[in-house]
Amino acid sequence: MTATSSQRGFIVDCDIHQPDPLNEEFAEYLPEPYKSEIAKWGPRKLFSGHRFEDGGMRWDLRGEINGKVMDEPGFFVENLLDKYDHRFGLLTGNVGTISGIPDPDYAAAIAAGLNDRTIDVWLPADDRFGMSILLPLQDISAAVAEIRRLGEHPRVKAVSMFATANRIPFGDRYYWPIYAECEKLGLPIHMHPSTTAVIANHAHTPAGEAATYFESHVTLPTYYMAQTASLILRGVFEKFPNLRIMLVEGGISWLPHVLWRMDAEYKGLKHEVPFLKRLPSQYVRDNIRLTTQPIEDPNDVRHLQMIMEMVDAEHTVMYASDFPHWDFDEPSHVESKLGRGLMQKLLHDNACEYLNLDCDGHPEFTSTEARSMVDA
Amino acid sequence: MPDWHDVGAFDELTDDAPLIVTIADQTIGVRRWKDKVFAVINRCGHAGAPMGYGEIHPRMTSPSPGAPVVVDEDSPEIRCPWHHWGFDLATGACTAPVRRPRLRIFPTRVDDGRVYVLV
Repeated sequence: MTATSSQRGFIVDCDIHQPDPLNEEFAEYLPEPYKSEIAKWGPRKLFSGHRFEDGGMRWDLRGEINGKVMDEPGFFVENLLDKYDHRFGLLTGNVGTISGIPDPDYAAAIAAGLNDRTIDVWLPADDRFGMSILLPLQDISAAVAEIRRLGEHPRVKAVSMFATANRIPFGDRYYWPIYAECEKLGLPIHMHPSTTAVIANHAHTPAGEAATYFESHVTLPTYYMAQTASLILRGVFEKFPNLRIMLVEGGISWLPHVLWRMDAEYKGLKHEVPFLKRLPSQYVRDNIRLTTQPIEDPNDVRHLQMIMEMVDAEHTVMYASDFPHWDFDEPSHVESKLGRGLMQKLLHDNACEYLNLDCDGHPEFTSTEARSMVDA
Repeated sequence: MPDWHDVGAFDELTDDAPLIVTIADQTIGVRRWKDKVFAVINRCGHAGAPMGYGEIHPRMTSPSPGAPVVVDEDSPEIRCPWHHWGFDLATGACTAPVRRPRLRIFPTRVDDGRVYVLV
């Protein structure tokens, strides 16, 4: 049994954002000159210029709840792990802190410091916590060094890449040293947006600069469409057949279109990608998983359920809460949209397998109804 | 028959701090906004969030792109703490042009400095 395979609880949650303490307390995790820099000048910031209400946090979690505040691990234990009966929660940090920051040395120092602090402060708080390590994608050798430094820690279950703040598409060979290391260690890659740092990409959308957070947020899936095409069509999964990619917080409903279009055009354009041995869509089942939050919300829920069938959600989709962010989805909300029949796989089995968790005990799904936050 | 229930002193309510009460098995969020008091069911019909913790602000509209924004202080809305859906605090209607969900609103009054909710 691994250190993270708590026998308590049922839900496996693929996206939990512990706050980053870029303050005096964090200084002990930084080397000079960054320790003095942050103490004197504060952390470097890269921001979208958009209205970002309360830092994107849920408004009902302000202040103290049962004597605890959001900066404390115990707050997450009580208000997420215990409340919803979690078996495992993947801590993914606050990707905006380093994604898009131009200086690779600074990014490497901050990433390492945040990773160390999560290990010191958050993991001991509850054996249900695991973590995804932050990487300085600005310097690929530093990123690989960070994976080598921490990748074999028993509670490191994934490696983070920031799917909206990169300047080079993720299929590019620039990233392949990361993929080689992750494949070797059996670590999935957690691809997450960074809405506040998306400006690092020169524009928030393929069409150009978004005027509002609204416009930026609803077009995030366009990044995931491009990253998926890049990963598949540049042969990443032929080179690294055991590499596992998690597409987190980018939606799901865009996937059928991309797969159909890739498969159709492959028939006519495969001479451009002669290294591909399978239809593009066939790589998804083996190498890509998507997460639920924010679950799409069509007027007719049957339309979403049809899309789940199209993407083989029983095997390709996993639950993520995004706690404590504003567009958090309770497990019961996901069940209300997708139906009870998928919940055993989505809330537990698929992520258990993908994150290499011990699935001993195989809890049987009953219902999320008892895990709803509010009774009114 | 609904009854008026005393839920506390008006002066102890602040704009930022919800008062959550349970009356007749219903959890209700009581909110002050400027000189008004509102009471809403503490559960959003969209995803089950505790609506009493929502943000209240004036309705903002604009007749056309580029025209000045009209801030209507007499038509406040409450936005859900999760997903931020907005609801008219007078009618409970979603402030987007959809029929559902609606938010249940309870009548309130203030007498001698005390806040009453009709449940």
